[in-house]
Amino acid sequence: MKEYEFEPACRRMEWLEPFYKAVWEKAFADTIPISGTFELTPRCNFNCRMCYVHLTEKEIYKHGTEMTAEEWLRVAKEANEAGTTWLCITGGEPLMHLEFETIWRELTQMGFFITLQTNASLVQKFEKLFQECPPRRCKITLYGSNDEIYEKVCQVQKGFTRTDRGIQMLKQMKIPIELVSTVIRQNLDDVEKIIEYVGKNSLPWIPNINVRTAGRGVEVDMENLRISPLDYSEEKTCNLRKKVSMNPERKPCTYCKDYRLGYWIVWNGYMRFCSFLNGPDISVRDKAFKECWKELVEFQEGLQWPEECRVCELQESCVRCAALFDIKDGALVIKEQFCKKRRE
Amino acid sequence: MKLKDGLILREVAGQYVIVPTRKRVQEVIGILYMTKPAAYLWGYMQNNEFEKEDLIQLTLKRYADATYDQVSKDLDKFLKELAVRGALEIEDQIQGSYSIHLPNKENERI
Repeated sequence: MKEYEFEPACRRMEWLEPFYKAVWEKAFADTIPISGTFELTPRCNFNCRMCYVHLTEKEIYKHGTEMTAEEWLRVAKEANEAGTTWLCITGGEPLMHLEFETIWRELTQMGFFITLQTNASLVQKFEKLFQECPPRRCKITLYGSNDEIYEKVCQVQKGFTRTDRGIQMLKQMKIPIELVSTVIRQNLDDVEKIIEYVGKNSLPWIPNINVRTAGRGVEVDMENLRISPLDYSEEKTCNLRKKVSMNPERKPCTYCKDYRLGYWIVWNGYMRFCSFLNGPDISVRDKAFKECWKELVEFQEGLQWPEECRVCELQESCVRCAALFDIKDGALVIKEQFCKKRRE
Repeated sequence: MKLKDGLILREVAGQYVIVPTRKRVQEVIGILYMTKPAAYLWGYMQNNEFEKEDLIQLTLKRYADATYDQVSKDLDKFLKELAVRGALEIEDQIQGSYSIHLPNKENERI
């Protein structure tokens, strides 16, 4: 087994089957883009407060144009040839792409293992399509256990009712489902009921409390969404500051699970290594997939922590990843207030 | 024997894996991955109806140092795996589950 200056993520995944381990190991060594995410559209029929992608029809044009079915399918074909085997289809709400049916029909016969990430509220509209071309797996966002909470979080009427209908339909179709919930102040008190729903439906569930803004044209009001941080004692804070969690010698992207083997293509046609970032802008419209991938890997290899981090006394204890920064002129730039908040 | 259609053999990072398409996504259980010799046979199996003996002969032709008994044993395992995971077209096979309700009289008679 080849030795790297740091441990590739697959070596830490003991639960992986030998097949996956072998694939991940080789993909990492040879930079094969085995895993991709297509963010089809920023459109969404929900308006979740913590979403950093959703744009209204009027806002879309300010940030670019959506890729057409023809463009997505050209990229998919090239990605498939380059080695992409695991593909996640997401949005916004991917079912809102104006040519979703065309894209889905073609993608499902190209030879990908596809995961569909959706809010499930529109799946009934595509029942016939999903019966003919079922997703291998669905990752569904669940933000509450009733319509009132959905109104608070997703700012829509009957949000839970619609989501639940979609979940029940997919369950009946025996499509494997995983539920994902972002917990913010507006649904914090509902968590127990969400857990009840998860249990009643016997589904796997991944909660998280991460609320971030991504500098991609959507302002996320983090102050009013994030759950208040735990009130640590002075002693605990002091210990946390001493704890070594980061190796300053390691480049930022080496902490990413997808480093050297995965990518995102955002709705307006740029290949990136993370959806939380506002760069780099490697256009899959203008270049062949392989060329974009090569450029992305080179970009990641060259990316360094900002100068402020390199001289900071907390550089070993401040747990961070590239997505917490902005990208400006090809470099990571500290977001306003980031250091101040970290020190607090 | 016959393979189901809509199953794509892919070489991914040096490994061989079957990716089901369209409706086959729900029929093939789990991840079906295989060795290089098995992947070689897959090409033949995709285009022909076959018997185990055909596959043995093909393998022996390609791998001069392989023995009949060992290949036969390996193929038993391979074909069983394909059947269990739902990759083989089996005549009269019913997909999914079913139940039959008989009137009590009939039940007693049986």
